[in-house]
Amino acid sequence: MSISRREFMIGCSTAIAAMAGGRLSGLSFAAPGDTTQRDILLFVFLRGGCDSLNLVAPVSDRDYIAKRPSLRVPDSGTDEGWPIGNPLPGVDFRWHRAAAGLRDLYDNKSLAIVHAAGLTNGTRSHFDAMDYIERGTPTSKVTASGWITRHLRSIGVGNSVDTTLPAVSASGSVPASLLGSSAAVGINGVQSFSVQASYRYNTAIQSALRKVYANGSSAMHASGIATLDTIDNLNSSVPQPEITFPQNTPGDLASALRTVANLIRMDVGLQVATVDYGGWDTHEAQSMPFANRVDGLSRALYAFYNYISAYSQRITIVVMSEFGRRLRANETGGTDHGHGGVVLVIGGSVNGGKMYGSWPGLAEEQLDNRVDLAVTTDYRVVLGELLLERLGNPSLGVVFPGMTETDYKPLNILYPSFSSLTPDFSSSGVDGTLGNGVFLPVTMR
Amino acid sequence: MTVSRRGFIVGTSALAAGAVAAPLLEQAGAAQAQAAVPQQAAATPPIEIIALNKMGYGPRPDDVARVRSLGLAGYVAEQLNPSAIDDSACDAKLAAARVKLYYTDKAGAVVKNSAAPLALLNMPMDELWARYRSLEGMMDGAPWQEYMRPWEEVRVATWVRALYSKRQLQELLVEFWHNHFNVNASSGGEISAVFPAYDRIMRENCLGNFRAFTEAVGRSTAMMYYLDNRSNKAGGGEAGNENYARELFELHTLGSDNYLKFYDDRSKIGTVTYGDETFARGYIDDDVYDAAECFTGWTLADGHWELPDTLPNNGQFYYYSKWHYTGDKTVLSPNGFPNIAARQEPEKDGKDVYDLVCYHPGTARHLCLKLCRRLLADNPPSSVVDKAVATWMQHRRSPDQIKRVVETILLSDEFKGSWGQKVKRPFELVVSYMRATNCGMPTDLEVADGKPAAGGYWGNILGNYNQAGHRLFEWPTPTGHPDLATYWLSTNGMLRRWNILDYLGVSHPQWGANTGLDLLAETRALGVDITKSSCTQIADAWIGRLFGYGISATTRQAAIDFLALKSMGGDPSKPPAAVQGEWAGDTNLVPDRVRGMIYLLAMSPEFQVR
Repeated sequence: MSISRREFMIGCSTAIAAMAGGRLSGLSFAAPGDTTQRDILLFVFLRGGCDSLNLVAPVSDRDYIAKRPSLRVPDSGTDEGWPIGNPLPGVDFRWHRAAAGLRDLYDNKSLAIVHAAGLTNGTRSHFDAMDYIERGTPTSKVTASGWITRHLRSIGVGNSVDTTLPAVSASGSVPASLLGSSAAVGINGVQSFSVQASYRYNTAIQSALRKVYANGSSAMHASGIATLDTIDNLNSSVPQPEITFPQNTPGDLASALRTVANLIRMDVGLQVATVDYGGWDTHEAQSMPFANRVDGLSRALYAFYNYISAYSQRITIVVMSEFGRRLRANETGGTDHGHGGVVLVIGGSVNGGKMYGSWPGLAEEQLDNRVDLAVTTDYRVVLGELLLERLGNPSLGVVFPGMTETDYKPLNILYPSFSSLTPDFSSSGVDGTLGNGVFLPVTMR
Repeated sequence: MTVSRRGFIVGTSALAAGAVAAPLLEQAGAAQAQAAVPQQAAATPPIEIIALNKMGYGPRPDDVARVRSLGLAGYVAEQLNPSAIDDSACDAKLAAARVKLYYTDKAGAVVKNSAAPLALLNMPMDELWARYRSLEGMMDGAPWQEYMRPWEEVRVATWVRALYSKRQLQELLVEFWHNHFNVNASSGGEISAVFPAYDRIMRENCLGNFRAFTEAVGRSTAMMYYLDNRSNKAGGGEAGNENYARELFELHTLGSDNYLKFYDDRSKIGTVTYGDETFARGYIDDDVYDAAECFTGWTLADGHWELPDTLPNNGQFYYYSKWHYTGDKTVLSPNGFPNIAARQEPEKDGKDVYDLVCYHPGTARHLCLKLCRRLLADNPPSSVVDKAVATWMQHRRSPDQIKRVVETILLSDEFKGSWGQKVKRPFELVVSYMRATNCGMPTDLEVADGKPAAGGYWGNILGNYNQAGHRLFEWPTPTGHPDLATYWLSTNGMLRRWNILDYLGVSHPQWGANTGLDLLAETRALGVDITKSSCTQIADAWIGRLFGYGISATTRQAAIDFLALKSMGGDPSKPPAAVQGEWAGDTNLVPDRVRGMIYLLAMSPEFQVR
């Protein structure tokens, strides 16, 4: 299947026209031969520990008010949080004032909130928590592959050349969730992705590079070949002009999401994209920087979602952080590392406009370690439902080794498109590498 | 160029070879890594090449013979005493460096345009802070470039030293410690303002005592701002801000391998012994909370409104007893009982914490693993880490503790067998290329191409280099740059590391290549003549210069064939010449191809590792 730009553009407008009827069939951006209509997964990782209690705030909670005398989302005044309909029972939850875009997505039922969600492992270390989450093994931070890598492998991606760019990290480097995947590439812009070594001889240098990087099987050789493949592929498929977001969409996140949006339009077989958005480690004077981060997140996701609206039936976005923050504000107007967080799920197949999970309460005896929001929903359950219902992958035990049938209590956030699948908790498909995270040093051949 | 998807797939069955590589990532293990060594024995370079690449930033042309004659032990001894090495040539380069400072007012009128020498590197802390305060005092706010100047100067000096200093090991270790005790110097005006002083702490302690080093970092203005301890004020029986205490345990000392998270009952934590001493098995959240209490009141005389009016605003360490929590604390206590008494003398609580974390055997292992990972391999053999730990613990109270540990590592058999097991970070890649080619640093100019705004060459090159993922002194998280190849081998990273070489070349003078790099002159210096020598001879001469050992036949042949343009009918046994379709009268054609071949060699897998 070779789609020229013209054909692709035609396909694209057909797709937009088809939106009137609701579902978008797997038109142009399905992988060749892929008739399964898997969603594209966009995983947005809020690195640094997002203060979930001020993003989706329990404004009526007595303990919240008591422990955050000034650092909280108020239910009145100029900073009044945006009301959230269909909240978890008994609590008045509000969006942070800067989250107007997220509020709109929620109100039009494209966004679901899972509160008190996260990693069951009780670590308060950023870097360990990220490792546990991205490797998909809450008891091992040295699992050799990432959960997304195992997902792609278990559906047969990364073992063949069927899809040219199945997995992309738009943050430039490849995160641990894609660790060990030969299918993943890092890209931080589609148009500047080319070898620039010699005005006259770039092509010859590129083909010589292909020879020298094909001469070995180390991770570096593989990366060199993947880089050359990516260059060839992007050069053959960059649409003109690249899309732009509204002027008022700030920052790095918007730029990364623009890359993802371009790749989605470019029909490169994208299945998974990951994007990092950092700056959430707000130990001190949190109020303004936190609002700026929320504003950036909210505007960028809103802009992205509008731009890919034609594809929204085939995209699911998951937004989460490694942990939430301490209930009690510290003495310096900030919050220290905590536990339970919030997971946002966005997409055309999301049963949105609704909060999910169960609220554990914020009284001291209800808190984790007596100080932090408890986790009542394991993040793997949210992702497991996504794998099963939207990504057509029943192998939950391979993607999340150690997760059992007892752990898996889906919240029914998503309208299923693979309703015939039943979850398989066997991890026998995982190569015998769990717990062996050492990286093989590059060896020359 | 249009490649259909079908054409693309057909053309890239090599990707299947890439897919084969994935299991390597997964099945990694020391045993397999070691087993792979005999197969590549033929390609192992001589010890002077290994030493120059792993104890520094790669050989300059005249280094190889000198280090060969010194031998490894001699070179290690020399490098471990950096102050005895005459570095006047590097000092002269530092004095000659010029860096642009250019900004306009809101109307676009040029307010400042200078390409001035580095002036802040040795400025005393008092004066650095006074400079910062004068910027703070400016009406309408000072330009950001002025705030960032101190950090910028350290960056330039770091490049100059990596490039020219004969104290190569010191430079490598300074970079190591900057990453270990990472601060993001561009994240705030205060950190940038004092960054030259922070860099001096790294230089003074890089071969010293870890306990003293860690405390010096903890008291420093840069770290006080970066991890917030300056505002760690006790309140409600708790610490005000535990950011620093958390990272002190997790990153600076014990490491998260020794993090046991949460225990309700301290008596269940357990102990470890080293020699005849007993230590807590690891640290828990309560250790972090109590250590944070120990550091309450450790702050800066920086004009905070709660500090005494009589205090001079000098930006330096100040212990404010009113902010200190005086109750007893329990930190890494083997028996679980409070081990830091209530109401100790000023600063004593914090000093106790430094003793507890720095002398712990878990810290020894964490730090020795990191040092071995930097100097040997991503996954260093545990045998060498064990030896380093033994030296570390034996000398943990010695003033030259780190020097002895580094010596243990470099003189180990494992070091000699560790070739090719580190991917060069972009900084190492570029500097090693510059050293091998006699490329200089760009010198900024006040006016270039008739424009005052042009001539900021240094920033152009650095911007490109940053995209490769190496953010010199502005890594955002306190982990510092990753030291595992996985991070550096993304496709984006590969492409940027390939492309940066061209920015240093002479082909784009308008972008700032006044680096003095003249690859044709270097080619002549190698004793080959591009009009008379064969493509093979020219390529081999450059392989000798860039690598100093026999690289793979495939890479060598690819370079020869590219130089000849063999695929277009060129003959490798003859000098490079125009091929069919090229105009023989074009005098730039062969030079472009020679340069392209040198880039290709520097882009090859062999040049990416050390």
